[in-house]
Amino acid sequence: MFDLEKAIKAWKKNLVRSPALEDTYISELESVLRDEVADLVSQGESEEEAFRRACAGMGEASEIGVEFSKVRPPQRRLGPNGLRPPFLSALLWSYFRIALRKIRRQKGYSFITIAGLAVGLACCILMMLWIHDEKSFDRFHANRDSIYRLIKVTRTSEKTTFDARTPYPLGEAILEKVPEVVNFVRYQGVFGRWEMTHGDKTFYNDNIGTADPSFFEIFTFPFIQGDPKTALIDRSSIVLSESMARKYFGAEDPMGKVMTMHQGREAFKVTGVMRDVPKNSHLMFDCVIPSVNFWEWWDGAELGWNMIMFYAYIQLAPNTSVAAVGKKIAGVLHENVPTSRAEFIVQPLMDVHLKSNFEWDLDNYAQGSQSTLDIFTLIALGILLLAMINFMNLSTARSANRAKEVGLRKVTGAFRVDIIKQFLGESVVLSFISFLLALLLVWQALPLFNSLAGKQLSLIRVVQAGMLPALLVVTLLTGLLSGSYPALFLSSFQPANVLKGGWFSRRRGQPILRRSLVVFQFTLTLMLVIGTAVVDRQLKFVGEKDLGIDTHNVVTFNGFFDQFPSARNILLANPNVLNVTCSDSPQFDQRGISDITWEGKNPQDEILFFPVRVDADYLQTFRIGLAEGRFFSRDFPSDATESLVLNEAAVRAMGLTSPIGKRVTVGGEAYAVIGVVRDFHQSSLHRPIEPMILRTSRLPIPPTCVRINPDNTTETIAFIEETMKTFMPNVPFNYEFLDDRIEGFYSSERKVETILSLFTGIALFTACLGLFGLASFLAEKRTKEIGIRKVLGAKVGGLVWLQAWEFSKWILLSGLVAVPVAYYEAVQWLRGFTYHIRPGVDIFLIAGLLTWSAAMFAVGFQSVRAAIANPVDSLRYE
Amino acid sequence: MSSDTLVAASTKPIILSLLLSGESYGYQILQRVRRVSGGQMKWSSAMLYPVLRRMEKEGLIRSDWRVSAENRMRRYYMLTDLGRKEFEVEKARWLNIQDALRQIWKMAEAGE
Repeated sequence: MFDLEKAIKAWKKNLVRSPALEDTYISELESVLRDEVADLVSQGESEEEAFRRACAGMGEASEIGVEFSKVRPPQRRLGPNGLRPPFLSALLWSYFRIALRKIRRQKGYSFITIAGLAVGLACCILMMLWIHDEKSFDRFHANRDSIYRLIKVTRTSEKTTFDARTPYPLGEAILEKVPEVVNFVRYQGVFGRWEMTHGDKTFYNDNIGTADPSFFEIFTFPFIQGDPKTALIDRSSIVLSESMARKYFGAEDPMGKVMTMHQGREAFKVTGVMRDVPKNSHLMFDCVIPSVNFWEWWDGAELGWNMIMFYAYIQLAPNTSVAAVGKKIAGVLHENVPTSRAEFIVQPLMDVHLKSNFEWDLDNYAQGSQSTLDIFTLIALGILLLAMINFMNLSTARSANRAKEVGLRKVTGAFRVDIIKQFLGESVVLSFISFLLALLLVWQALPLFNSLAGKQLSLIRVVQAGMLPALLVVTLLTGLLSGSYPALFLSSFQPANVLKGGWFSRRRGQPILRRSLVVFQFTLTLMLVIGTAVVDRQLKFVGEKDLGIDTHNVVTFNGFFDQFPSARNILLANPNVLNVTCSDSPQFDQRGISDITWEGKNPQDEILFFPVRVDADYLQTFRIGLAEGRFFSRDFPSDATESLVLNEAAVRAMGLTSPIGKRVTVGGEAYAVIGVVRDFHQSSLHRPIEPMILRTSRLPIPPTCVRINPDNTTETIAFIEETMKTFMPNVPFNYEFLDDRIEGFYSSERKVETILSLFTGIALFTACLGLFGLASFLAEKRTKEIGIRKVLGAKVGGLVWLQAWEFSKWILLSGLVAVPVAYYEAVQWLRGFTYHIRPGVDIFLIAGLLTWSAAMFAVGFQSVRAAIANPVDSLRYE
Repeated sequence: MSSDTLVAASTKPIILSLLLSGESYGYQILQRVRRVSGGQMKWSSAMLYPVLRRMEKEGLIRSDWRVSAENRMRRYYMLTDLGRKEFEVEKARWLNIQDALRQIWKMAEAGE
């Protein structure tokens, strides 16, 4: 027998299943069905037939859903009030709202995640700014892709030397013999050593570049006045930078004016004014004079092919094989210097800043280093990774708290995709908040970072250099990546299990993942801490090493020139002046000479000697030891022309057994060896001690070096200045403490150290922040356990140790991974120094202990709080 | 314009017009549409109710659950003032279209 009510009930059940239909719709549909049935029955149909026809007329439940779509008129896309919906779709807005609500509700946790991510992103932004700046070096030259620099490679039986300088006449020779070379230029700088005078103005601190006339054809340094093509053709011409022109000439027009050098002995006419050299140039100068001047001042004409002093840049024709050109250039050298076996590397201009690690190179600008750049990039990414791990770790750790939320969402009809979207949405919102915070941090930190890194970075460049899209992508990816694990993990909850409770304790896999993330974090951090410790130790070693030369309390300046002998006597009359010498001080101009022969020399060997200009007081002033023979003396006037002194390294390199009295020819002039000085470091500890040839002063006159009494420094310096004024009233007194200069050798390492310690601090902070969050969560989770333990008689100390040990295990494991990697990296870095420390066990122990203490500090607070809590309260928990 | 879209576009004016003469309920509306169109237009209830709900949200109609003479719950719909105004607007709009079409067809038949 057909039962209409039953049939309608069954029909309704079908409709309920359809997700699109709301209850009110179903009631109304039911009323329509009933009306239709009643209508048909009144027309004489049976109830059953009427119901069947009415149902057929309305269609299947699923079809009814489809029908809905038909009533959506086109203007449906507008909101109910006829306005366009807001930019953010409703769902996205809801994620945003939920994220904000979460931040408000869980302040501590949100701070840890957002602050951590912001710091990570800020590091990332700083690094991007830095990398961008480093990569922008020399990019402003229009011919940048066709300009190359010549690097001379000398292989002796003991070692291979890379020298960025080439023999002076090489350039002209290759331009003639190698057709692929379209143009060439030689360049060398004299940095803040020589005075420049115009009228009553004299300054010492200008960087004087010397170059061939083709300089401004090859390189792009825009001119304000004058013609770049002809500016350097006349040998007494000079091109000034804008600011140097202003310094000497003020509002006057500098063109055609004369400037002098060497106490008026050399005169230069201004033939051009160019814009200041950009900060991102490896060629740094305030003015340029033709190189031929320099070549003559340094006895270049006398030394010929043995005068190795200039950096040579060539411009190659398009589609030239760089290796083949290198071979041809070596061929040209061998033709002219038959004994030479040097080879040439042709280095692209764009590699000069970052990929030059040669024995001799330009030293008046901050040379970049690809490896340092790589290391810092990795570190910045590492810190970002740490922050992302924190985020993932804390979110998953807190998943127990949110499991119920997910369960309820699912029960009320959310699909897994919805949950994933919700969590990803939340984390993306958080990451963008962090991004804004990161920009703020970078903005605040840039002045500090700039002074540390010696840069002029600005936040504007983020926008100008088109970095913003990249950063937004990084932020989005950070949000997605750091949200991915919690999203996938939380969305997999079975609502029934979660809502029944007791679900969390049964999950085993999750803590393992969390632990391995913590181990990974601390591995990274520990590596950084060890790295910082090694760099710090090496720099201390460098500062304390006996250099074989005493540079403390020695002041050096350019001064008396040919009036030195009389000035010396006046200076020495002051009891605070201990010694005075007119000699090259450490790290003087870089030039090596190889044109040296002696009896028994192997003609195959090409040894570069370091010529040092000294006087009789050199040894005393610098407290250098004498190994054999005697030093120059005023009692032997012939010393000036006939004698020379070697250092021990030179004796070894020459293979001499009894050097005293040996005849040595330097650039065609014969000398007798009268003595051997003990080895001393005249340059940084990166370099071995070079073979040196010490001869008495030659032109140009070397600077004055004065050893003073450390007790009355200020008065003594004032006295020296006064003396100088009486002799040279027009020359400004620019003095320098040699210790400061020695310190300068390691400025790039110091920079590495400061930035490394900064990053290490940040990494440690980030990792500990994460640990703090994790520890507080775990302590909270263990409240009950701790309560029971206390009731059963456990001591507070034991309870704290319980938590501490849990984390200590992970850190110990991190140490096992980090130490070998860090050791390997440290050894690699130390190889850059000829004289270096061996990283000992103590460094690793101290670094480990430091990291562990920081971690314990983060964990301790929460552990102690949990342990001293009253068990009554903790057992009442839940 | 597909016929579906045409149906969708015309539901609103038709409902407004039907309710002009007084309140009505879902089934009655469906029946009257079928009758006046000579059976050409067969609206389904699934289609009608979302439209009614939307119009109610827009304030054009309002509804009331009441017990009918057959002792069943029924929802009755009636026009609001806004709905009456909307009817005038819709009426003008459709008459315009109708006039335009007539003119066009007349011209087409005249062979212009």
